[in-house]
Amino acid sequence: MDERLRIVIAKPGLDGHDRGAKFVARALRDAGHEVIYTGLRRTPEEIVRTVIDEDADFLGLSSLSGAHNFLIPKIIDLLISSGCGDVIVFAGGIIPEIDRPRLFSKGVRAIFGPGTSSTNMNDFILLTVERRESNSPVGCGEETDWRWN
Amino acid sequence: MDIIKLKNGDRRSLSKTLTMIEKGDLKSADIKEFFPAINEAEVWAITGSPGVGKSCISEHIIDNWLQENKKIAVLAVDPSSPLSGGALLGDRIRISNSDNSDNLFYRSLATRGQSGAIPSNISDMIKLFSALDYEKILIETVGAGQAEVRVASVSKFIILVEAPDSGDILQAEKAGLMELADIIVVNKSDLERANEKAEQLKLALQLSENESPNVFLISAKEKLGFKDLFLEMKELEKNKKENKSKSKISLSFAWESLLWNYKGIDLILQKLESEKITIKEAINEIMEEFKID
Amino acid sequence: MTGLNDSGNSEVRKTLGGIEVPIIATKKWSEDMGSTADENLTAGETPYTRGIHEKMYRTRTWTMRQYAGFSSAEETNKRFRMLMELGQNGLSVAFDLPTQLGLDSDDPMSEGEVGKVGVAIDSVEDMKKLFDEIPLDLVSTSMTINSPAIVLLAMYIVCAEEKNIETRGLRGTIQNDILKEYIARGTHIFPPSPSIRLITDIFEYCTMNLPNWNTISVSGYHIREAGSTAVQEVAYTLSNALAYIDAAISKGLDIDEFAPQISFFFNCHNDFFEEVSKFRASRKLWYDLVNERYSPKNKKSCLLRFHTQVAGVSLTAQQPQNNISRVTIQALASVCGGTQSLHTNSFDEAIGLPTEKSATIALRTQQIIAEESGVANVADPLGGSYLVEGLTSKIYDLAREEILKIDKLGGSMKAIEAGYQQREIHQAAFRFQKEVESGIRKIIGVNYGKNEEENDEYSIQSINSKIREHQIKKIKDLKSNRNEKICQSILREINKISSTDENIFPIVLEAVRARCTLGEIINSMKEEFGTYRPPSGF
Repeated sequence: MDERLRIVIAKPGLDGHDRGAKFVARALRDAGHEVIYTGLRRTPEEIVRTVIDEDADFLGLSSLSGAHNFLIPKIIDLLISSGCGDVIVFAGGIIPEIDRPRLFSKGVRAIFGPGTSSTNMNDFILLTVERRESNSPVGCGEETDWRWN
Repeated sequence: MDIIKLKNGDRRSLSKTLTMIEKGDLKSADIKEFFPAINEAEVWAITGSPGVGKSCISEHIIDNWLQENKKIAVLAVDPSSPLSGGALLGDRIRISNSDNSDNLFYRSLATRGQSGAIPSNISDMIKLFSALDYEKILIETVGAGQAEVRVASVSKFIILVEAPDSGDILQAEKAGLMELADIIVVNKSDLERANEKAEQLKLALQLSENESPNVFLISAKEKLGFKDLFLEMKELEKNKKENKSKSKISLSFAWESLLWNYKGIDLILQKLESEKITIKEAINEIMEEFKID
Repeated sequence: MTGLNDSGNSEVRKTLGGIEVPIIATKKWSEDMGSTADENLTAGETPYTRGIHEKMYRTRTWTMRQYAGFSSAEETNKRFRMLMELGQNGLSVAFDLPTQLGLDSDDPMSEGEVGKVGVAIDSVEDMKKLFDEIPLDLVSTSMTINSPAIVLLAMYIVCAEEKNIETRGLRGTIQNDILKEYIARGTHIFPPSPSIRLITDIFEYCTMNLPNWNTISVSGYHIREAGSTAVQEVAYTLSNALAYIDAAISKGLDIDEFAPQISFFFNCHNDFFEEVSKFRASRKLWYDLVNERYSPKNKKSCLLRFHTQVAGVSLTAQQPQNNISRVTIQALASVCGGTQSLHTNSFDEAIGLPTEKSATIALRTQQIIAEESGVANVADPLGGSYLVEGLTSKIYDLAREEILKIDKLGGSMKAIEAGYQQREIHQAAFRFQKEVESGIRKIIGVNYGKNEEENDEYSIQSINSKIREHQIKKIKDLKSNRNEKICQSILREINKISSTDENIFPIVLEAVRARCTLGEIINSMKEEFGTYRPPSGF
């Protein structure tokens, strides 16, 4: 892959735990990507605007506050209505198993819980880029059941 | 590139077009062609060592412009990692107004391994923003070394930020930047050494032959001292005088981009590498091409 | 400091925090580490390395204080009463994030967050429901609240007033530690100076009116959770505490008036001996620092009293029941380290909110240690161990060095503004994660001892989805039943006093009594104070 990917790592919601988000941002940088980290407590509107202005290929959402069921679908809806349905969305943090099917069906393509390795995440990124290049649906607004995990 | 959408203010089209410029897929000539009437935005650069508080100061400047209902583009530049080629672009972290107004477009840029602290195609981005009626452009860059002087070539005004705890001002590499600055700001005026630092700076500036920039003491954290800074910025926008060192830099940077964009450059480099020609012969060859005697 | 534990190499072994340990600890090793342990030192004797009370847990066992709170005040009240029936002797309130950030439940930013990680408190009416039928004169209550601590404490006081309880006798703790919020926890609202001013206003008010209240709980817990080493945890926490003392003294308070009300809050991770040593080193270091710098007359001013919570970050989402073992080891270390109170985590916290069942196991774990293990019979049971004495000295020295480094940067606040602690913690966290990924550091169920198939289903605590509407309705009712004119004039007064040096506590109490909401009170301060985002450490 000779093109650098642009990845926004965002913290929606009110929680201030960014150990995971910062680790992910740094690990993705080390894998050769350009990572834009938003900092804490961004609203869905702010996050979508960041994705647009930064022309991001990926959006990673980290939530540990339990507000993921509300925030993540809202962000994806906003992305789609702003014409960013091609952006690939993944999530991390504390997201209970029971909530995951709904988020996947909403267009989240991977959920990385505690204990995920950065290799695992890089593999996800490579694979989704391959899908995108072969015109298989993978963006958050594209029709597919495909997901990483 | 969807020109109609772009002209209608579609953010995503603008963002995609910036990406094209960044990748080199869209050149100055194209921009000139698509946007013939070009207004000139006021281009400000804010620079200083890491940790002096550039982001916080930028935030207040942006706020001030937003209140005046200006259309603003921010280009926040951070270095790419020489090891991985990746970059961590974190200038948004401390800004709380970056995403709230339609009048503000905020883009983070990595240097992508180009010489100098700013990507060479930043001037094309500036042209695009100008064409789209952006009135203010703020370039935020880490001014840690000699190469950062290049920020002068693309911006009309430079604000150099210093902090009392940011090391010795008289470092050789900073001297160049100081000569170019239009305004010098000493942040963290709450720290004891802030006054001392400002005095030190003023003294150093008196020794320079150029007209000295004014030095302002501010506190970005407590939002103190900004009124005077904003007044000075307005004043400068009205009566900007060119200064010689800055013209020199602009010229040499423009010259350099001309050189590296010259289509025969690869061939000349190859010939140099295999020692088929000497540096002197290479220069002659290029000068001939550019018709310089 | 790198913390490698290369299992292929029998020569070098290190603690979790990267301190090299010997194959067997001898007196010489211990002395090489700097130990000058006094063989005759007992607990309750200065410098308190061995504990702050002469008879330690024989006089009174530690307070079992389980952090709890979710959904509405009514729901949390039920959980509190359940825990008290199970034998818990202190309450600890977890507030939801909007409350921690001074937002009312009806604020747009609160959407999706109300009642999630703790209980939603919008006004004193909620506070009264939270403590319904709980005897405030008999229990001690700890509240994990920082930026808006002044308002929540005022609500607790007014709640007691309206229950006709003598407020001078109230016992409890507010966390009230803004510096670690900037460093690690992230629920900050105001810039540093006004935040510190609120804290010292609380010190001043409580010194006079709430003598049994711990006005601050200087917390290393979250610093450790963010990825620091044990040494960094001690250093940054004590350094923050020194900053609070300096601020209070420059406000004109006397060290002996407020310092006895300062308490601490530490993490307890998996490395058993390092953790025990950390607690011992912290006690001695705090005693020395306060004596050296402030020469207090009251012995209690340099006493390090602390609450411990076991390490949430050590819990794995994989094979969650293994976490019960981790919690047990950690809890045992905190008791051997002489903690004054303890929270044990529920095993399912890496998956979601604890259920009644998992919360019960967590409390029972403490009771097993207290009643069955016998460790509580002897004060400082590991004192005199060459290993523990050696590690105690080493941690003491390293933490002191780090505190001096922060002093040189201009103290804790200036260092935070420069991003120093944040950067150091981020580096340590990154290093640790890389060690896990490379397999150098093994975590059972994550990169070692993985089960082929994980099909165990765990139920987690669910939150009523109507909670926000419920809170919004309560706010509406409250606002329609109060004297609006008085409320507005008090809010304006808060804004006015914010710009002066006057103690703001009395007017906040008035606002709470008049039924102003948390969000209204904080907003009227925000207009004057502004907001702040500290450097992230990148």
